[in-house]
Amino acid sequence: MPLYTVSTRKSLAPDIKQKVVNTITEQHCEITEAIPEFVQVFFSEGVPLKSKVDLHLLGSIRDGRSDEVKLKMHDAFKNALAKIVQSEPKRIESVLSDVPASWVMEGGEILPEPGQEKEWLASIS
Amino acid sequence: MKKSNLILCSVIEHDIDGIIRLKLEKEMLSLYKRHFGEGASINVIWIEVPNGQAYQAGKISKTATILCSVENQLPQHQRVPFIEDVCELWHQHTAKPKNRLVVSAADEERVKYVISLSRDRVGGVRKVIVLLKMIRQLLASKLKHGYLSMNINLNG
Repeated sequence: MPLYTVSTRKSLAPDIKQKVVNTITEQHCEITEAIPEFVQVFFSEGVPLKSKVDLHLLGSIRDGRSDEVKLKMHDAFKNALAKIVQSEPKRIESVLSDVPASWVMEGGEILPEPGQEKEWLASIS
Repeated sequence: MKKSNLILCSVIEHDIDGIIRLKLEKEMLSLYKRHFGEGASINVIWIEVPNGQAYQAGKISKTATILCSVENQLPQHQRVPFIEDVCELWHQHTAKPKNRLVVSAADEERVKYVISLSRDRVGGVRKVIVLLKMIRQLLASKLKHGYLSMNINLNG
């Protein structure tokens, strides 16, 4: 967690996939100050997306981020992903869904609330 | 009243053997009954993620992600022991390391909401076609392997 699912009509080339993964991981961590170890990305191909959409991003993120932070994430994802897949930001659909950290276990531990990652890492290491 | 809980297991294709999946399903049902009462029932759907389509921390990953539906507003003192038991069960049967598993116990209404967001990726009338394809895949898998399974890719 977070878990991002990238949906496209056709399969993306491996180097493009890696760029998409790097962008999502970097932007998520830069904006939310989360640690990259948490960031998961799945690709779903062959999805008959809406006609005005070239790439769909669905992210399940930990609850507790402000609307301002989420808006920043949407903008960052749309702009960066549009460049990678040679599209326009308006043709990138970005959807974020909140999940309470206390509902998720990763590496055998319940996830920390946003902002408490360093203490959490220290406590389990 | 019998209550059915949906469990979505996203796993790397061929990473978990079919026999182990069936054992896990059986044990998961026992786990739900133990935690939530004898009336509990489950529906497990295995989502196959082809190798090279899952990443974690920027690298190709084999981490499994399990989303378990539980009663809405389940108290945390009931939710955490349940999640711990799911993790333990997974490790017992798969022998995979703990850092290759993410388990969520989410409110039933939240699981439904996430599924609806996923369905909304698809435009207009194609939603029905996609749904029918998914049902066909799930039934074919049930007949062939004994468990419900579908690919994360929709072009099959």
